[in-house]
Amino acid sequence: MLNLVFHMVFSFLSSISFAIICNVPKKSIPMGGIVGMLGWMGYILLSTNGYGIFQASVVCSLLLAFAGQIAARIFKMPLTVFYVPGLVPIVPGISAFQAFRHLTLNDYEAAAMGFLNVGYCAIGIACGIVISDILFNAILGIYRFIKRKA
Amino acid sequence: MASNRNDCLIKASLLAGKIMLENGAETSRVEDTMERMISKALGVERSRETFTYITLNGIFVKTDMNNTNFVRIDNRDHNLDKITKVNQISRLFTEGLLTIEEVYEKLQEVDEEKMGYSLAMKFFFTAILSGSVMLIMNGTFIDLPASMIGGLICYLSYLLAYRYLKIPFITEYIAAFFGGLAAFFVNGMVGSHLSSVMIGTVAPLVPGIAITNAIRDILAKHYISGSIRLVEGIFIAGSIGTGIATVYYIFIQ
Repeated sequence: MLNLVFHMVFSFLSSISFAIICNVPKKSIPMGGIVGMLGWMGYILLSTNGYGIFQASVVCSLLLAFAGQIAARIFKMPLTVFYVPGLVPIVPGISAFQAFRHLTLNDYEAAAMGFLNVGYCAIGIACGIVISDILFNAILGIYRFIKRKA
Repeated sequence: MASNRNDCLIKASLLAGKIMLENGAETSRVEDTMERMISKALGVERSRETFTYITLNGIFVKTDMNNTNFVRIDNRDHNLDKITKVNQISRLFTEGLLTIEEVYEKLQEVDEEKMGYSLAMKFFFTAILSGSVMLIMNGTFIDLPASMIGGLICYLSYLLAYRYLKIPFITEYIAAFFGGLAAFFVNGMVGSHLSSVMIGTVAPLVPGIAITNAIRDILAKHYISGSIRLVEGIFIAGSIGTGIATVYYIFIQ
């Protein structure tokens, strides 16, 4: 439990600080932090409970994109503003860098595993975005349908 | 008068696209914004007569048989604030609250504006970013000074190298090398988990926007831009990894 709070606090901090490095608008910073926190919670809960990196990154990207879509509608800003800061800890950049480090240190086994993980993670992120797009459009469509009927 | 208005439309849509691409928007969003502006102004849907073609290095616009233009994009940076502002301007335009001349003026203002947070604030948050990424990547509190100082030096040398060298990938290599060097020495004095510290150190450089945009571009069928961005992201990750590996080579092996 304490561990979860620890992860929540520091993923929030990392999201807002990456948001500031990328010059996001001031209004979106706290919401971006919360979106990033949600994504990282999904990732850490799955990966500590024995799921692989692919499932974890699908769920993380799905949560991030879905929460980001909602925030983007509310704040009338592009999705990227909310999505990118939250992705920092799981973005394949970090694992790609580790894989390259193994490669340059002649540790081919770890490097091959690292590159596979990078690929899985990237595909997972893409799947998450696609699923969230479909879900969000479906929900929006149903909402509009109900609103028109009522 | 009509052709004058058409010129202004082309200039405004090109400028909007240029600002968005230079500051790190995905290609599909740029195309969407530009086509919305054009179809609102001309009152027609996308057709054979009006279209845009966008790659990462250039934008082409055609509004009718005689009016075609393009701009070249050279520098790319990350400034999501400008993208948001362009987005708001184009939203106001498609709602009919602005004329195309006003849009062009506003876009010029956005383009020339030196926006963003102050350097001191960015440095402060770089340190926080490095520290917190290190902590959520299995680090401990005793590693905080090493990763924070490493992250700061990394970002500082990135900015300096970006300003004076202007060679892609070498800047990231230099930044990762100096950041890793600083992190290694501080870690030698206080600290335990060197690999978590190194992850935290390079966190400000990680090509997050490049890889995210690459995936989203490929999903939106912009294969050329997507694969260019993917290659860019992989090369940046490679140069960061090599920079850190150089530190490992010199001091550990």
